[in-house]
Amino acid sequence: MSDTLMDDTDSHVARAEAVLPGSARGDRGTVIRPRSGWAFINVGELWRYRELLFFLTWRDVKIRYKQSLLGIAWAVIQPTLYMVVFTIIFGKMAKVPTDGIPYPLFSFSALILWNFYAVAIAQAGNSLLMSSPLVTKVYVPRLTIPFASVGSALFDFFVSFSVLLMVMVFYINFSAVDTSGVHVGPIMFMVFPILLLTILLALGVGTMLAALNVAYRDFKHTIPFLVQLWMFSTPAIYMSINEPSADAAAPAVAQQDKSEASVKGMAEEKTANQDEADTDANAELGIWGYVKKALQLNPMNGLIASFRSALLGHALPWRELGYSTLMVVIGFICGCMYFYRLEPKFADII
Amino acid sequence: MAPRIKVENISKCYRIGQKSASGNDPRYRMLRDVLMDAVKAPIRNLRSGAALGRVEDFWSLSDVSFDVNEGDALAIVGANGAGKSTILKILTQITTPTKGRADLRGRVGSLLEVGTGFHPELTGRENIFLNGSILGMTRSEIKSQFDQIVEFAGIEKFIETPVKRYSSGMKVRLGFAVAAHLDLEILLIDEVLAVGDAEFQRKCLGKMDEVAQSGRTVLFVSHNMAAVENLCPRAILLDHGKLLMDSTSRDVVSTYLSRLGTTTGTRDLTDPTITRVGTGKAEFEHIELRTLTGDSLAKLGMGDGIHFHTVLRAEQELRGTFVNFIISDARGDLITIIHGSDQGDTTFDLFPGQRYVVDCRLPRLNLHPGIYAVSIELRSGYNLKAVDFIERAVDFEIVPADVFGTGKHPKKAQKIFLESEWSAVAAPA
Repeated sequence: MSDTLMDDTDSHVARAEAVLPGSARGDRGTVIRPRSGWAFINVGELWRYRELLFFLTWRDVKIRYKQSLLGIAWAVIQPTLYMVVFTIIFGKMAKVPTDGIPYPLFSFSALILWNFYAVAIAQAGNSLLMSSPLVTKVYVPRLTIPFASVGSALFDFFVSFSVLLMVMVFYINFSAVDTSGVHVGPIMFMVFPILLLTILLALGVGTMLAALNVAYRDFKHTIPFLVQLWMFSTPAIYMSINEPSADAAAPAVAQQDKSEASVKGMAEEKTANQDEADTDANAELGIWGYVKKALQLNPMNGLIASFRSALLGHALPWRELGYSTLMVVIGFICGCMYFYRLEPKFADII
Repeated sequence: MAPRIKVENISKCYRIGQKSASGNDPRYRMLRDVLMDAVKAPIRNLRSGAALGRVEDFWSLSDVSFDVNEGDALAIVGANGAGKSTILKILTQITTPTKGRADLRGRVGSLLEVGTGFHPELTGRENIFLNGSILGMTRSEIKSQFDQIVEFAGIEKFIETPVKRYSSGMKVRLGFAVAAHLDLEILLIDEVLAVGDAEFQRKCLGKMDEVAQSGRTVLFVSHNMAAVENLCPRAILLDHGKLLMDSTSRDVVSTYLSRLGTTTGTRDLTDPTITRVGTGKAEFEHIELRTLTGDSLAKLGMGDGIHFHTVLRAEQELRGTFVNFIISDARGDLITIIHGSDQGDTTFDLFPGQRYVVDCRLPRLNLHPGIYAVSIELRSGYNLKAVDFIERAVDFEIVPADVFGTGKHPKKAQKIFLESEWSAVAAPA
């Protein structure tokens, strides 16, 4: 059924494999031969190219802020503007629960992690197309290209993270706002493993998007939309996921209604009306239930909630965090595997 | 001693031919195409009996084997589309072979393009480090070679200037300078000498000679037969993906030259095996050589006129574009460039999805008998990179003719001839 370059069958999928018979420079050799099927990260090769990874990251950072008036401040401006908008909409108008944390602090701590993730996957997703000469004119391990994009987003993260720390110091010591919900403590160091998980997820999703973008140009248009959509499906950014909100309670009520209805339905003779009501209840639960389930699949919820809890000294949502870790590992492995699967064809189809 | 490069029965297959359901080029597939194909495929398969008949396997290389020993310089010679670049791309690991195996002993450096990864916003110094690390140098190696690289490129004064302010010549010099200082056992080089001024080309050839003399192994692909013969004692000849000859470069070059001139003066440039360089914002689809009366031709007499006819298709909007026809002789030496922008304001604008036909007529071609090749180039403004460039897209042959009406064929010791008016009288006393 395959009829283009893209649809090579397995027998045509080939990959060069580098072997290192010895560590001395003169002994380095390369064996080039077809290889089919799935493969996982060639860690040794990636390690040998660590300097390139550094240079590509450095290039991305440098280019982003050359000839720009505000320079590195842009790393802070974007999450700050989001924070202002969220504070007005969710903090003042909707008054969403924040576990006693001032809303600007509540949203800013989530937004910098989210902003890192969003920038990282968007940049990584476009990275191969942006650097197509690195794919078609020279051999470098292609994985370094999206990895470097994540690396440069990480640089921005640390800039905005230091701003966040300053904002926290200001809030706790110098502002009149009630900060009794903030308890800074040693649990703060948990932000680093959580950040590491977010990096892994960004690497997995970013490399997958990069590979998809080479194969199907649609993803160039899809990525901004995907990032936006992902933000909406990460309610942890703008509200607490600890306390059940009014919305969360509604399906629980529906659940009760439904079980009552079905008990009744079994005990009594069904009428047409009852049937209808039953179906209505099911449908309502169905949609919200699926939406809620789908949102739970999103590991960013657990990561962001945990990041904020660790930073502001609240109890970590361990269950969500554990679940997110599982999703992160799956996402990272799948993303890299898909990338490696497609990599032998990159130069032919980009 | 085992050879540095051992290539055994390497083959490379591309699947080509059919366009997807929506008629898009398979290289730029949209998800829509895939979905449409998936829906249409069963129906199509039912109608055509089998899917197999619709798939065309194209073997860009088939069963190519050769060895290169330490300190050897091997040239790869062949027409555009013969598979030369595919071999280099496989040996550099840019693409993978479908069958076969190659062993490379030692660190491999490749130079398929000068200045890969250069970023216009970065300074010369920054780009040296970036480009060096892309080519596989370590930071300490770049540091220790830094001064020599800058000196070789001759850009000492501009080292802290962003590369976007460099002239195109400076960029090329800097790119080659970095690559020339790669300290590797195996060097794979593709046509990089096509750019740069004559003096710098000499410098590059000298450097490459030095590299080959120093016991490193060089694999060199070029259309310039003089460079091939100067640099490489040995050469292989490829034709339609097959290894035709493996001998001294003198023999290979003469065989290559004797096989030229068999084309028909017209070529389909959508053929995926054709090597092209450019941004891809627009691409040539067809070139045809015609007589001035419109007949297709590949042979013409001395002094006849010629009509270049080419079709191109734009993918993106481009302003101020023009076409150059570059005529070179069989050995790859440049004869002349017919610039599309030199003779008045003849530039045009391109709009996406639209095809354009570009015609250029030369009333008289003052070339001596021999084989010549036409390379075509599409440019937009004076950017460093061409929109599309196809080297030796089509060949033609000039046959002897009584061009001066004297009943004699002019002597064939040179490439061009010029009309002339003479007088010889005794000088007044």
